[in-house]
Amino acid sequence: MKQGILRNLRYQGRNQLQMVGLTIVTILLLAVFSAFTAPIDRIGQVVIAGFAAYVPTACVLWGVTPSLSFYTVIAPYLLSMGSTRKSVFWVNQIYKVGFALFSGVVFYLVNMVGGEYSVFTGFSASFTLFATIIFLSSIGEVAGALSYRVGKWGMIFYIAALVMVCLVVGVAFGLSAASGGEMANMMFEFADAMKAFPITLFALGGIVGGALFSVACWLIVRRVAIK
Amino acid sequence: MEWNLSSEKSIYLQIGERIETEILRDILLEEERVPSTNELANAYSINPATAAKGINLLVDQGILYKKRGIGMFVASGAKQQIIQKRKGAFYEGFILNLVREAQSLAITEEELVEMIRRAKEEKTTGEMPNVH
Amino acid sequence: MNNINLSCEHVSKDYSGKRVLNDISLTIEPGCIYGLIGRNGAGKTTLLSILTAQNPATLGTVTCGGEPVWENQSALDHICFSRELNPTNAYGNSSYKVKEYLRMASVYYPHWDAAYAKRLIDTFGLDTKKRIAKLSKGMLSMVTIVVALASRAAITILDEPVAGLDVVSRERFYQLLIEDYTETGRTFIVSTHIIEEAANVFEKVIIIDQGRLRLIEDTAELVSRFFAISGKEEEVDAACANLKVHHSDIMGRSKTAYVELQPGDSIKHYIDGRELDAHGLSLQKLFVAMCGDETPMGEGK
Repeated sequence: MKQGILRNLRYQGRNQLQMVGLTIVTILLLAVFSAFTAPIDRIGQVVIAGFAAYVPTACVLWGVTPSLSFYTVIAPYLLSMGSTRKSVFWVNQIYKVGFALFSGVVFYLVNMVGGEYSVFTGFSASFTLFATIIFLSSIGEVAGALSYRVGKWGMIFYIAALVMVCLVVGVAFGLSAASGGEMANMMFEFADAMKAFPITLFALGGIVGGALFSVACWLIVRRVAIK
Repeated sequence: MEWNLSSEKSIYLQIGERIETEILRDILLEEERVPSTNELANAYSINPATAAKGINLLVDQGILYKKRGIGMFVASGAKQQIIQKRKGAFYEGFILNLVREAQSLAITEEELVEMIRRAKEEKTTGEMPNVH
Repeated sequence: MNNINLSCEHVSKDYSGKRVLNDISLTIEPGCIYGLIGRNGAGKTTLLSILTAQNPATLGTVTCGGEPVWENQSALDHICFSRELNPTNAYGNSSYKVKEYLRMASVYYPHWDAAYAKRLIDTFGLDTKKRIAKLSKGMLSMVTIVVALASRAAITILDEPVAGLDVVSRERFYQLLIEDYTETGRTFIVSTHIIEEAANVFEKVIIIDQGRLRLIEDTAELVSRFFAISGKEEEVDAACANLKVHHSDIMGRSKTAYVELQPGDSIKHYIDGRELDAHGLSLQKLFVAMCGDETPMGEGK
């Protein structure tokens, strides 16, 4: 068991490290791009304020997208090479939390270094990013696992169901939020709103949701057969 | 001798015959080491267990003997023994069948002897293709 | 390392209500090359997947060295099941390069022999920079062979390793297999459709037919029990009265019966004193006689 965990830590770790690298590169590219488009006298301010968007974008891109293909592409090979389902699953969970933690920490540091120009400061924004990545990755894992185990229609049905849920929640949320405010100030207003909203509680809900999706994922993967 | 192992006849018998033939032709000399089981297995892409069976067959007949830790060797007198054995097999396999077939075709003994003599002459004058 | 056996007891497998494997019990003994033969859809790959815990059995248990195989890393560490690579499979990453696939194998197989893998790659002339999706059938087979041999696993399983190979590569593969086997004495299970040229390599054969185990037996002993008896129909019938006849052909007054003797029995008892010819059957012919009759021609799947 221990050997199996170590092998997975080694192999999946390498893949995860690539994602971390890609995330950093993406953040830097976005920052450089925004520096070129910013007015000369406000470069620093624009770039630093922009991190509020670059970090979550890059982290969600490289943290969540691979979760979709983990159980369709990588896990079957690992299982066919004699790894246990348990160790493949648990190491994947470890790295999922690890990547979310990395995202949160980077976000926190960037916002701290940015000082007064940062849009988000403090613990709650970083914690929200952490929770979001866990939540979304877990949803993605279930999609991949379903598609491998049940077939593409299983996954399509699952995604359609998720979209419906999001639509209902989003419309309800949007209607209450759209009662006032301009697009240009959305980010700052959102930040303001967050101060009043029990955001940490919201994020905790995301983590619990993520954990539930992970349990579902294990139930799918537990007795999966290699095709 | 056909050099590809055919599949219809048990491979281990063919391995035994192969070694016997090599002893008859002085390719393997008496008191000389014969290829090991693994060497034979690798040479013909056959299972070592099969090769071992072929060798053991010859050991049981006293044609080969085992030197501990070194390998299998050709026994002295092996060549003579193989000739004797093949003569026996020749009688069983060819002569008996020949006589049986001759009887069913009502060939007399004199005719049969005459045919053998003729075949021998034709062979020495080179008209019969040299099988074996 | 080479004294571990792999066995399954009363293994059955259902796929959406259809039984594809039916109550299979067998033991793979250490230090032996096994051939697994069966027609398309007989359940070969399913059986191998279950033996290696890559597919859960519906019923029954699989053990390796006495320990259950399912989700048990220490048991799985003795096993390598090098599956057929399929570039058109929607699942599995065919965009991997060969060397990435091999690197994965080097991490996951505990006894991986990198130097040996390198030698095999050179022997086959494989380009490891190519992506799996771009490989020809032959090259895909070669990759699975490299993984199987270089895994140095005590029990190594190859599923249709020669399917895509030409005659020359097939011979080379069997040479490599025997070479490695004579060196290490590890256990191999090789499934194949191309029986004739593999018959001499297999010390034992496992025949499965329509999801059932027909037999598992020493190849030489098996071959020595099968004969084709031919002659006048009544004579053949009389000779075969107490024999298991698998298949027979009738042409005019003549008949050929493909018969199976019990172990230790001799064909002489049946044909002596009759005007009959009897000749032995090759592994392929006895397989066809045994499994060829029961289903219509074509894919069973």
